[in-house]
Amino acid sequence: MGPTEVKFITDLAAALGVPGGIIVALWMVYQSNRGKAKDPAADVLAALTKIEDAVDAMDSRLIRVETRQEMLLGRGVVQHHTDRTMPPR
Amino acid sequence: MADRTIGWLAKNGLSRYRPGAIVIEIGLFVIGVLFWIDATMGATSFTPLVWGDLAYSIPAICWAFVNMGCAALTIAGLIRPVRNWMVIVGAVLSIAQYLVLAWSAMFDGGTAIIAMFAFVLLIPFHIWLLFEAANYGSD
Repeated sequence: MGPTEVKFITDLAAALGVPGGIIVALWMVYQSNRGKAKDPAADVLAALTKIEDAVDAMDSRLIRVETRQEMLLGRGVVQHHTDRTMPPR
Repeated sequence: MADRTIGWLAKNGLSRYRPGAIVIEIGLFVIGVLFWIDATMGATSFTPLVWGDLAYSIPAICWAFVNMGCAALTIAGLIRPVRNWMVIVGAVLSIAQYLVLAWSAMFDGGTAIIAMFAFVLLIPFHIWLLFEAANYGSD
């Protein structure tokens, strides 16, 4: 390696000093900012999960109630009217 | 709701398009670094025939530093949590820089086609960035 190459490498190293300093500063900004940002998308998902849980809780508390029609059918008071040749009872 | 952002669902373009903007700014930073290396090692590519007399009246190393500095400031502003003021300052300085360079290349003895990069791509992009940073709150 001759003196021209050595001079080229030292010049290049000197030239990279300022950009390198800026890159280090950016890296420090990145490191100091890590974990400080809010995560609004996670807040939205958490709110949706709460709504989903509330709907599940309401669903589990619902009591199945017979309709009047179903009750009468069950007792045989009325029948499904399927024979179209006769009027219903 | 203008001051409330919800990440990728945000109305705020800085939150939504932040990664893309950072990629472009890193590209501009790398271009600035290459100009800086060129300027410190002789500035062979910086001639008035390309950039115009107005740009040539300012040393190449200054242009390289402004290019690197503006891009770095904008990148720092775009790192979460986003700092709108950094993005605004970075975008304004970038617009001013590209306007002077493009004006010089187009109307002051440079190569006009060089100015197209600034007028068509870089200045509109930074105006959009400035608009987003000035109009919507950070996250």
